[in-house]
Amino acid sequence: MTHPELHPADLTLDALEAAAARLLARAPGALEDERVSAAPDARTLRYYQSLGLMDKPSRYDGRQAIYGRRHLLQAVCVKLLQRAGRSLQQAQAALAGATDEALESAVIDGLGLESPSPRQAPLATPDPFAPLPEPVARPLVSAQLAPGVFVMIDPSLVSDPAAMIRRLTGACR
Amino acid sequence: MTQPLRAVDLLPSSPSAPSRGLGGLLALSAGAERPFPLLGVKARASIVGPCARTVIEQRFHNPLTVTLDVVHIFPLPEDGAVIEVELVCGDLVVRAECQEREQAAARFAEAQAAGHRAALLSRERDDVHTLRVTNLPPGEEVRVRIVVVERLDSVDGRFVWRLPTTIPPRYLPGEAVGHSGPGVSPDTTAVPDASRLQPPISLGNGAPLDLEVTIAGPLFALESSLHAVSMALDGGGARVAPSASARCDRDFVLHVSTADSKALTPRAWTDGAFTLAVMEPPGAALAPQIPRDAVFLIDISGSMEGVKLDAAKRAVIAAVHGLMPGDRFQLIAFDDRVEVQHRSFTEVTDDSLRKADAWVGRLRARGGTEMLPALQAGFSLPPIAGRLRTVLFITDGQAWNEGELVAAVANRRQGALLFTLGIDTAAAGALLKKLARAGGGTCELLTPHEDVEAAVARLEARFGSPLITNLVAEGRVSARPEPQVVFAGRPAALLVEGDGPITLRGDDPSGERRVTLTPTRSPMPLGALWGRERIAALEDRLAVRPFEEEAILPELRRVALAHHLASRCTSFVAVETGRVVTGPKAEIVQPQALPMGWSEALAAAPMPPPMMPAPGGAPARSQVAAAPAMMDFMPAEPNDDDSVDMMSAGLAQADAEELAPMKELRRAAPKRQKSAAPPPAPRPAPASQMAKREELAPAAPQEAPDARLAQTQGADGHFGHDPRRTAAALLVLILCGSTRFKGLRRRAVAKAAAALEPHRALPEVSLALDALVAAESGATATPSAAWRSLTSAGPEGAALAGLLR
Repeated sequence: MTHPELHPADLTLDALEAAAARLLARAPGALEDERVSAAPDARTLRYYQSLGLMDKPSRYDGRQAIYGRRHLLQAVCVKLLQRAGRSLQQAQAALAGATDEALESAVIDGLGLESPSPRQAPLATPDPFAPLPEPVARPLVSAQLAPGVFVMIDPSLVSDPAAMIRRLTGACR
Repeated sequence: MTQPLRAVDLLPSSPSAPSRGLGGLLALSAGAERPFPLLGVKARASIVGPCARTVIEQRFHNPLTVTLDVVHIFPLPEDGAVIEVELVCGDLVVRAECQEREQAAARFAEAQAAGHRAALLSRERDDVHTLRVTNLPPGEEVRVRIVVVERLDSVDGRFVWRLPTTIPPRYLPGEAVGHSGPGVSPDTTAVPDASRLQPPISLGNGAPLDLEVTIAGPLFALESSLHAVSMALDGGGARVAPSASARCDRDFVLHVSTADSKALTPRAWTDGAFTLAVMEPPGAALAPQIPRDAVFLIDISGSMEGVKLDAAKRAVIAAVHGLMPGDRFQLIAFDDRVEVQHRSFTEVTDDSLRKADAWVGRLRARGGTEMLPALQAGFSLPPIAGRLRTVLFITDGQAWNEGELVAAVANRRQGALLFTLGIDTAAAGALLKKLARAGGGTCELLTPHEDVEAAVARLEARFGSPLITNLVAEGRVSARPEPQVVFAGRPAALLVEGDGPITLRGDDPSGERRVTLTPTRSPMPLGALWGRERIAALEDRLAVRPFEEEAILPELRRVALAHHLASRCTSFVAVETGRVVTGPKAEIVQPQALPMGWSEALAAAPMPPPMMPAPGGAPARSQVAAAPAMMDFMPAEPNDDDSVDMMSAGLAQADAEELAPMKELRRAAPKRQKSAAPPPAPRPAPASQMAKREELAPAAPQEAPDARLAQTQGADGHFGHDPRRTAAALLVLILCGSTRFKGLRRRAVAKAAAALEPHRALPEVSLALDALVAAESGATATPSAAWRSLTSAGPEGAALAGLLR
């Protein structure tokens, strides 16, 4: 139901680095901050782990740490947040306790990946750097009942706003 | 009168469910710092006699929209016994039960699955504990209260109370083999439980710390070495709190002088079932002088970078200069390599002292903290009959492989005494105290800004032979399978089962000493302390003799359960069954702030590369180009916590002799107060009647005239090879309170006096030696007019002139 690249098989740290780099190569827009690298290297991934930005490995195969989907999502999310101008400290706060679903939707959204499932609508705007979607504005009706006294009326809930205003103005006198 | 209608756009005032996609995460990371589950820590400590009881309350809150499980890996005082844990959900208080570790974990897992709120506290190491809180509903709060009791060490007449608040990233040796625990480091071949020990590093500030310490009884002096504190005197005792808002980013260290910290006469306390006896050896007799071979082991790993390494260097230089004629020394520096100045011991000569100074001066911080090969090197030279072998280990102690280190020290020391000197703002006291116990010596913990030279001078007093050996108490003593050894300035404490009069017996240089004490009543649970020390002794034995596990662990479990203590075999679990929480869940492992003075760069890897930005500094441009990923490690913003700059050293010249009566409580000005920084805000006065309030800033060390002298003394005990200058120096040392038997500079005095003896025919020399004898007989040093004739004798004479003015 989601993008196959986000469901990798078991990954070693090196394979995780490569998978994250492959995904991040598709990120739209240019890297604006030259201090932020495009993709995390193995050393940086270990640093993410020491900050709790990336979970502990799924398991160990002998002495080889094995990573999976959640780690890939976390690593890509950190970079997407950095590309959007967030600091690692802000990323640390935002990613704490994030569910797999939240991470995945952020990655699909941030990379502009098409959802392969026709049943699933795009979760958010395709451009990750666009401002947050504005909540839908509702027209309200306002009126002055007496000098300095105002009311606001939601016409979707009050059938005849003008009549209501008249009644209220009368009550004010 | 109808007004025209106007349509306005109004945004809905409360957002609906958090938006998804990257926008959702961006929204979470925008604006103000989003809180982690730990909102704050409140600690209330009371110091009564030689014991402290501390109630620590951690407040957790769920910032998510799903049910939360929190894992908090945090430090507690390493000598403390956790005797009580409570889970507080609103008005509901659930008292935790102390159970076997596996049983408690199973009970917790059951509650977790059933949707009940629950807390589980486990002890991982002496200092490291894990608290798990489960089923915290979105937006709600719980608190966990932990009660810790501890016996306070008295060091040179002062109790040291230390509350650790954060666990710094410690060096982890060995190869990764798995990852079973909730921490961020893997289990390794060297540290099989490492994954339970290391919390994530927080890039933000530490959680707010609300702290107050109450001290019972007459208070002589008080110092805090890492916080500015304010104090209120309260009916004979005192209350102390940080004067500015504190955070969990460094130890809180309080040095307290009370009647009980200066245990000049042996004393005993009882709680009705257990008795604690404390005795300090008389300092009047210098231990017999045995020629000494001193090894100095200096940690130059990356985590020592900056003030810590500077302090360590000053400590080594002071200690080397404190050696007596006939002593020998060896200097060893280590990170992940071991660097030895000379393969064998070097005689103390003016030339070797100069070379030692230069060698130490060149040391730079670099790699990982591989302590095992370093300790092995420190004990590698075979012991020599008739010479005392001491090893002084100077480090921040930030490594996890405690077990193998303790075993190495115990198995290799062959009679050598290991002293540990820990330097950090978040000291690794658990490891360093264990090593010192295994090594038959003592552990001193310093903060990097304290007066290191003075601390080393006090430590030197212990380098001599122990003053009392084979100290035993008659009765069921808690810990010591071996009889205790007592060093100058470090009283012995013995915990015994029973409440009757207690008899201590030990050998000092003049023969057997025996003293019987009648205990006074103590409100502290001494049984818990007895159990804690018994457990520590069993754990020490286990580290050295792991093959005895089958005998040791059941006994450890029995003691822990009998006294309701958290241990490696027992945990506290509390379950609140009144409410069932359902729905999706998430887990957060609470991150911990880096200690003050540590840079994030150092935390990034066990072995920091040389191009890592220095603490507080920005890397040069070319370094950025060389290692672009390195920028990830840059702190987002400079720490705006101005309290760092207001820190200065504690300890100062507070020798035991200096203890002032209450009205003369020291009020030193902060050393490097930032000019822009506002003065510490006064705390609102507590409700009770306060006799007096004092603002105490950490005391600043002041260069004492005798401190400089101790560094310029020649290897033969003379100053500038000139008896007149040496005589002048001796008078300065006497005026500063030292004789051959007491004071910080007793070694310098002894060396100078020995060097002057052949020159007694000179009137000025005999004048100085007579003044020394007079001072040793208890007379106050009173300069006579004849002393003036020495003020022309070189820099020492000038120092004397300064004092005579």
